[in-house]
Parts: sequence; C-alpha cells; structure tokens
Amino acid sequence: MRVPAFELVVPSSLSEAAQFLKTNQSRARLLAGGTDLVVRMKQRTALPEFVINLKNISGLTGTKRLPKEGMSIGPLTRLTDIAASLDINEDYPELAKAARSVGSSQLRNVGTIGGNLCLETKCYYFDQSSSWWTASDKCRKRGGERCYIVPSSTRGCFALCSGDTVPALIAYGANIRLTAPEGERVIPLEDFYTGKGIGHLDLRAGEILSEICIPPPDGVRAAFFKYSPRNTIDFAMVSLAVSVRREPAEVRIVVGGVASAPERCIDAESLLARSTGPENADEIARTAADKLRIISWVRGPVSYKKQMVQILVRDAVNRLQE
Amino acid sequence: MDIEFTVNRKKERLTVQPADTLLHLLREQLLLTGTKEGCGTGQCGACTVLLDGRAVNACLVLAADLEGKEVWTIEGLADGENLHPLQQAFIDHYALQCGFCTPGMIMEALALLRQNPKPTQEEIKESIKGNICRCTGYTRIVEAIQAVAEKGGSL
Repeated sequence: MRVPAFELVVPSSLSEAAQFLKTNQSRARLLAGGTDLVVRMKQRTALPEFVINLKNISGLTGTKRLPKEGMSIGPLTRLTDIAASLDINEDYPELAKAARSVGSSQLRNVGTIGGNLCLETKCYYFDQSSSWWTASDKCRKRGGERCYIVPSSTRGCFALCSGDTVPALIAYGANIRLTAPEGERVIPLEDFYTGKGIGHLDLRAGEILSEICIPPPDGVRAAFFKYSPRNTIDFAMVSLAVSVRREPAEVRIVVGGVASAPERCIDAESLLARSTGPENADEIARTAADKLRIISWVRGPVSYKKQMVQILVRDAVNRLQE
Repeated sequence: MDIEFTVNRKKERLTVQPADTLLHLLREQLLLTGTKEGCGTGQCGACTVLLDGRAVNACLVLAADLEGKEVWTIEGLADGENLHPLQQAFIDHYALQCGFCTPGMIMEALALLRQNPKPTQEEIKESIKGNICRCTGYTRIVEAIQAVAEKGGSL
C-alpha cells in the first residue's frame, strides 16, 4: 500500500511547528511515531497536504523527575522507552504496564506516548482501506451521512477512543501542556477528550501536545488491566485503570476503549472511597459496570463488555485492597 | 529529497519521495526483496527489519525518518554461503512452511536475542507477538529461537 504524496515540513522549534499548524490547520498533520498517521494515510482517512515532522524539535523526548511536581514526559518518548524506563517503573508502574500492552514490540519501538494520547478514534468501519469503502456509502467520519455502528442515529459518530496509556495516565492524575503560537495552557488529561467520535480532542487552532506531567506518586496505588479480542496487536475491548491516593484522598476508576472518550465510573469511585475492606469489591464492580455508558458493539457485544468491566474492576479493587 | 542511510553495513544514498516507506525503498529501489509486505498496516510483522537496532515495521517508517539511520534486513544476516544461526535453526527445527513470515520472524528474534541473550519461552512468545504466521504455527518457531539462545555465541 502506498502513502499518498505530501509535502514534508521539518520545523526546528515548537513555536515554528505551532505557527505552521495554525496557518495550515485543515491541510496539515503532525507526525510523531507515525504508527497511526501512516496507516490512516494509506487508508485515505488522513490526506494531509503537509506533514509536520516533530522529531527535529529538541526537548520533546524523554522523561524527567522533577523535585516537587512529579514526572515530566516528552510526548515524543517512544512507548518502548516508557515501558522500560526505570523511573516510570518505580514511580508509575501501571503506566509502564499500559505502555507494554500497546500493539506489538515493533509498534512500540516507533509509536510514541503523545501519539497514543492523540490516537484517532476508530470503529470496524472507519478503520478500513479506501478500496473496502468503494463498496458502500461513506460513514460520517469519512465524510458521508451514515453511521454503521448505530444505524438509527441521525448525527454523531460512535468510534472508540482506544489509547491504552490514557486510562493509566488519568488514574495517576496526569495533566498535559498544549502549546499554541500565542501561548500555552495546561489541562487535566481527562478534559482533553470531548466524547465525540469526530473531533475527539479538545485542540484549538495551532495547538500541539508538548508535555505530559504526572503528579508525585506519593501515597498512590494503581492497577491497570487491558482486555482485547486477541492478546496482542488488537486495540482494547476494555482497558481499565484504578487508583487510590491517600493525600489528598482521591479514588479514580477509568475505563478506556468503550466510548469515544475515556469514562470515569463516578458512582463506583465513591463506593470505593468509602470502602473499608475487600468484601465490597463485588458491589463496586457491579456499580461500575451498571452505570457505565458503553455505546458501541465494536470489538465485542455490549453485554460482554459490561461483564468484562465488572470482572476487571473487581480484580483491580481486590488487588488494591490486598 | 536525498537521504543517506546504512543498509546491512553499506551506505546508501537515495533520491526519495517523503511518502516512500522504508519497505518500498528496500524492495523497489535497493531490490532487497527478502523483506515482505503483508498487511501494510503494522499488524502482521512480515516487514520487520532492524532500525538502529530496534525491530520495526518497515511498512510504517517514512523515508523522511531515515536520514543517518542504520537498517538491517534479512539479506544482511548470512555470511556468504554460511547461514546465520537463526536462519539455520529455522531450517533445522522445521520452523517454516511458506516462508512469508520468516524474514520478519527472524529479524524480530534477532532484536530479542541481542537485547536478551537468554530469554525464557514466555519472553520469546512475548517478543514475536507482533509477527503473524499462518501456516507453520508458532511452536516450532519458538523452539528454533530457543535453540539459538541455548547455543549462545554472538549474533
């Protein structure tokens, strides 16, 4: 399969990249590892006139422990390096585990954590070659009128948000820095996702994900699990991260892969926050599964996903309460 | 654009389009057709080569990212008529039938053994998770890699 022709842009600074992106917003795409973008260009679901290669910009790669603020991760850090980083394995072991669960070793050797956070939402239909699509009317995410996942819907897209490191990072309370030509803003990673299948990221004109910051790990315990149809290469049917923080007291239960954004299980979180012993794990798990919005049958029936959420939440809670 | 990179110890200077993938440069410009194109979307591992020592899917690496890099393909393994230990082991253990996945499997195994010379069976399975074989099955492939690891020596 060929990649359609494009013009390569190689900025040497973040502000240069952001300025170019802002000027050519709809015609340009950012290239980090390329394991998502190159596939989508081959599928003709991304047809940029310009590809902005970020790899020549210094300061976007690597992890750094900060004296007070926790950990700073460059978005261009490859998933292999996240998985192998001693600092991350020591401070945020479940993030390392989540990074290890992405794709295959070949994909992790090229794919970056920033790319994983920005991963395009997908469904069985959108994620196909253009020749496959010649046989039917285009779906909304491809510029058509229909949705094959929820045929009765009159608008919207139900493609899934599947980055495996996303739930783990949200569980650890990560923030992200978005840099634009006229300045930057720092937001909780959770707020980065709009919940829409089309336009799933809250990105303003010219903004580039430039840093991932995780608060100090003191007093935090977490558990991450991923369940997928095959236990390799596949995107998650359900990915789950649960965290319990002592000071300030906070509990998070984050489910990825079931909707167009990662979902928090708020009711189950408050049950877990009040829970005193392992006897409550079943009830917490049931609440999480019952209240969760699972919108799509992609990668497995909704009822099956609900059961998997329940099982994974129960296992995670049990592990954290050991 | 012109790029310069190393393939199997040999410096190559090529005129490329930014949209060319490493896989197409290898197969169509350098005529190194040992590296196969399977899915073209990073799911099958047939195009696995080493890029600066790491196993990657050549079908997803753009020419734009190759400047100054070092690439190893299956053609770089044998020393004249003498097969590389991994190649010999795949034959000795009947670890191939159609052979389409074999170059990718061997390059992935090479990356593993250079990094971890004594992997457990689990670690071998973990490593070749990104390589799909549709005929031999994985048991003999794992045995072949294990045999090379047990023998030791530099790879």
